[in-house]
Amino acid sequence: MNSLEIKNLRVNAGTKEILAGVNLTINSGRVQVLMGPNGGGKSTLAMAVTGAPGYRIMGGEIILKEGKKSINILKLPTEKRAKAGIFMSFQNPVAIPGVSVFELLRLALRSKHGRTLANFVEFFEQIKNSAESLGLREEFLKRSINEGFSGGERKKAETLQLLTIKPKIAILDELDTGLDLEALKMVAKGVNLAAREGAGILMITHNPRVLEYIKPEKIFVLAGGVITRSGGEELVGEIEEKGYEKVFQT
Amino acid sequence: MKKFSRPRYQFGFHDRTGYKNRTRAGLDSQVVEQISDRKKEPEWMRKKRLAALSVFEKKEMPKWGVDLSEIDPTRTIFYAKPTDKDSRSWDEVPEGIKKTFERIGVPQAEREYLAGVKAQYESEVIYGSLKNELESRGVIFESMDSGLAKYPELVREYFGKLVPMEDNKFAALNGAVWSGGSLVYIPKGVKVGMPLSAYFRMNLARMGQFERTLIVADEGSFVHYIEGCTAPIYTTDSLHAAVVEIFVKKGARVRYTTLQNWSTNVINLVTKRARVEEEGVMEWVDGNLGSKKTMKYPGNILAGRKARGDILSIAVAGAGQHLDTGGKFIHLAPETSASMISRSVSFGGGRTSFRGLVDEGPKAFNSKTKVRCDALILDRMSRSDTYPVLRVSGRGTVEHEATVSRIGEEQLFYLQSRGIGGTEAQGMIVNGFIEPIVKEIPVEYAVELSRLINLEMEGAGDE
Repeated sequence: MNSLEIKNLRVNAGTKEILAGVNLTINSGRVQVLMGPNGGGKSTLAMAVTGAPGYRIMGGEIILKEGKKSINILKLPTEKRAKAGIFMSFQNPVAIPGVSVFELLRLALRSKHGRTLANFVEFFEQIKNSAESLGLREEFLKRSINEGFSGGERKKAETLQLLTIKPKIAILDELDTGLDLEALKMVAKGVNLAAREGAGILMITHNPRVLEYIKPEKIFVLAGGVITRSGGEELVGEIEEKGYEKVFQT
Repeated sequence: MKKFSRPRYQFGFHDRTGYKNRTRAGLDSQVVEQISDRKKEPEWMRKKRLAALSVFEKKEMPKWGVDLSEIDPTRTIFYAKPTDKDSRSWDEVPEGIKKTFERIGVPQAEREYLAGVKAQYESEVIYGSLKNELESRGVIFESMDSGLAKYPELVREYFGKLVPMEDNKFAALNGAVWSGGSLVYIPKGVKVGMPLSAYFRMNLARMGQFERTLIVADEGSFVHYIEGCTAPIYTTDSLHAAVVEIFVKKGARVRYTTLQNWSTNVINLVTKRARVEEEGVMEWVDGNLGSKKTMKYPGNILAGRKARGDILSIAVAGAGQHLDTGGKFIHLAPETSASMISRSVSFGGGRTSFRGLVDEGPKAFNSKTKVRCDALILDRMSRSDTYPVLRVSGRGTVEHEATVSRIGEEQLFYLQSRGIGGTEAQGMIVNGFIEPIVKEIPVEYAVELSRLINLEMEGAGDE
């Protein structure tokens, strides 16, 4: 049982306060959803957890618990957080020409396990299968990561990384934005699979339609830098009834 | 302090190779005559050398490009002949250098040469059987010195015809004191399947290196010539001024690949030029990793109908380096075509400059030129500039595109978020950036290049 406990987290971007004391726990094997108005701090939360440059931690802690072991990941550089099991999917992942999807996955896994993978063929087959489940062909793996990708391909490539790296905790920043229905179903299936395999998932979304395919255990609303609402399915019902905006305002 | 000394001179260390024959420091007609005497050259070459010397003395230092004010001919030794005896055992080679050879995967035979265990690279061992086969097909592949002795008429016909001594101050210098380099002749219709390689090395403090290479590819022939450089480190600056002349006859194709990794005390001023006849193809693959300063712009004189010139160029400049590279295309005939792709990377305070010259002559109907240069800058201390010169007559079409990007803090963060650490991530981004050119380099060199870049990034990351 792993968890990520975000306690009273305060974060500035430049001199501006974005998060003003966020409390939230992500538990392994569960999917939770984070919603909220633009500028409410959702992406900042993901960036702060991952350790992005330019986001200053003004207070609070982020504790990764694995069984009895617990570490405050705020002290770790980004790559060590990743090695410890933290993953985020990017809203607009950047292109890196000349670095193939496959190479990225291979090096990410090598970093995670601290050694080159013993069974290359098996590894390749696994990635190929994951890619196929997302409607991606083998040739896709040879392309430079995110270079010339359509919006849908970017999101699928992020999902493929989630499925390959198998993190303990994943924050998915608008992984479902800009997808057609078929792609949305495939990505949602991937997210559900990752949760079944033990990842604790926080899904940042704007899209009520995704809730048809992903059943979150809990929904949080982040507005003005703090969690203003949280709830279970009743909150989903309320959102469906009143619409996002009204729920945010309450 | 570390910023300005980077740990990248894998092959650089002082060497105790004895020099039986060498001139004193400085340059005058006596020194030039000494060189000619020792080489037992024909009279016409001696005269050429002396004429070149007077051109060198008259011409001013170029005022554009890199800062050359530190060059002091009075402190330079212009000729030294290495002794044949080995000077060092493998056990004496520092562990760090052995490790670097291992990490970049240099074969043992080459390691001994690069480490100074052997004064001469034993090309006979590696290329012995190839050489026999080449000779049976009439191919000439000699050092320029022995080439001049064996084939004086061939040398006389072509030497200095493409890069005359008046061309520039350093072409004149080379004309006066040249030593080493290669003579290559490929007979009509002969296609050489395996690349011809040459290793150059500097061996003496304050010694200049002035190779002279001449390649003549007769009609319908093909050859790929590869030049790779490594050099020892010295505290005083070393001057390197080479001249390369390539004649591509009708329907012939020549590829010239350079992997330049001089240690970063070397000033590298190279004049490279090809004349391409009807339907001939000249391809330059030019990789510049090393040297303190480089000025090098391979030139293509597209003299015959449908002649083609291509340049693929990489420059990677770290702390204390200024690499000023590019290429030139002179269209003299109809339907000629030219393309240049340049990728440069600067980091740790390094500087890259790109110069492209396109000259469309009055007969260049329907000629085509495509120039694309992309620069990547890794940090705020580093710099990159582009200086295009287009002389367009309107007979053909010219496309010129240049981009400069700062390295992605975003790209780095993306890789870090996948667990891939800072220096490895930088190496991936840089290797990815130059990949379109690296894939044109023979695989064993490409692997070495990518490993060198990873080592460079590790060095940069330590700062």
